[in-house]
Amino acid sequence: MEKNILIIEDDEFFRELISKKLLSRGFKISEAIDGKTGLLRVKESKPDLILLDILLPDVDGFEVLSNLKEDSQTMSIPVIILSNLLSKEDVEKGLKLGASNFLIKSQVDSDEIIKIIEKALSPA
Amino acid sequence: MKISDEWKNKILLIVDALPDGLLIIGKDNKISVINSKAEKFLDVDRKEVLNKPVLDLGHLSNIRKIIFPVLVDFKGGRPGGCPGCMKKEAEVRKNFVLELTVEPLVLGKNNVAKLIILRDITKIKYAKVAENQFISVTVHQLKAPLSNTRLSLKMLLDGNFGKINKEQQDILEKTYKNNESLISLVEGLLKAAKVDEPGKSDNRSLANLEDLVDPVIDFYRDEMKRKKIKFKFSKPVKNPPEILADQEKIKMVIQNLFDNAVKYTSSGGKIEAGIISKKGEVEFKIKDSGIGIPEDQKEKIFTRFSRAVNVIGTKEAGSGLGLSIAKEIIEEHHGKIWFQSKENEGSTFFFSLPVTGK
Repeated sequence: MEKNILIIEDDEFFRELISKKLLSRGFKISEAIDGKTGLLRVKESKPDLILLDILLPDVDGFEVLSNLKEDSQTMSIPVIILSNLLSKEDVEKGLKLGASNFLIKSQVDSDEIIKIIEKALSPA
Repeated sequence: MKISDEWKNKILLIVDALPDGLLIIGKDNKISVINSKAEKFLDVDRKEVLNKPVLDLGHLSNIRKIIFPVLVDFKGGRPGGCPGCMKKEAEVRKNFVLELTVEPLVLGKNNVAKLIILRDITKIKYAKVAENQFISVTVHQLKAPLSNTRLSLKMLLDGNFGKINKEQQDILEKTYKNNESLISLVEGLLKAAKVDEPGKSDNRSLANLEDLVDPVIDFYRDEMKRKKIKFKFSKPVKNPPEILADQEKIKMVIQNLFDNAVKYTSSGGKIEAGIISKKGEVEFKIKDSGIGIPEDQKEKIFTRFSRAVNVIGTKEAGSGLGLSIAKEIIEEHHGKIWFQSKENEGSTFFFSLPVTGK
């Protein structure tokens, strides 16, 4: 069954590129352009995995993540952070809040992202 | 030397008119001179403090908070400038930062007083904070489009949007490398701004230099393997004494040095790193068989945005900030950083840091 991935990302171009890549690999996608919409979409689309940006216009990604991890309905969904933030403090914060991975946008390429998504989705 | 009363008065007037605060504490530990600016900076009245032993003035909070610590820390026996003198910064109150310079003042045989100069550096401090905030915001604004460009170019190159011909691939590869240089530059700027951040320097703890080197070696192991670089790491049999360091910053220095060595050493080359225990200090060195630094570039290698001419044409992205950051950090830790290099033969970079204990 094709897996459903929710992309919470305010940058339209980045969203477009990642969506194209995911669609070409057979994933189903849903999108949200800010944190609040993202949280609503999680309830609606029940994604198998979430790609989450941090610097979002309203509720930031860290807050979205902690909301997801506090809710028993969403806490088991793997969340991969994809951000331009790269300081050690930010990476540690993201992982501590429960993200499966913290990927830095300027350092990963689309094939690596796919690999990491597939790994996060494969049963342990 | 005898000074007439007329001249004494003139000197006191000049001292009083100075833009900096000035205090003289005599051999008997009494405050013998205090000028108007020092009164204002420390929020005291000269009538309250003049000719009184400093230690009896603990009820005056600024004397207790600002002057006591410098007197305790001041070891200066040697007149005539540093190392006898000492500099320290103190935040007197919110939005008011003073720089204190303490110097031995020889007034006669066996009579060495302490001269304390207080300079208001609030503006400089806050200008730096504003500058760093500006850099930080700008860098974050620049990073989003740069990351997008990187991702899209890579996807084009990987054939995600259809097959591309040889010429298109060549142009895309060059654009990709240019973009990598820009990313490297803005990330370097952010790092430099973080290093400069006031109050960021006091995150120090005791550490073994080897514990800071090991993770960096692990990080570069794959890249060295990929480039078939022969790597050797030597260290003393017995652990050298610990250093007092901001571990993240020292790791950043080691990483910057490794990064250069790995980048500028071609496939099949050699890199040797080592830790050497010396009297009172521990030394780190990293030697590569890379392209080396041309003679006429050596002088400015630690200056910001400096990249030697012979690396500009290489495919390696660099910001020209790594070594200047390294120098700032090492000097902040009272250490030294230097190098030896010969063009086309390689470079060796060294730094040494004082160890704690005996």
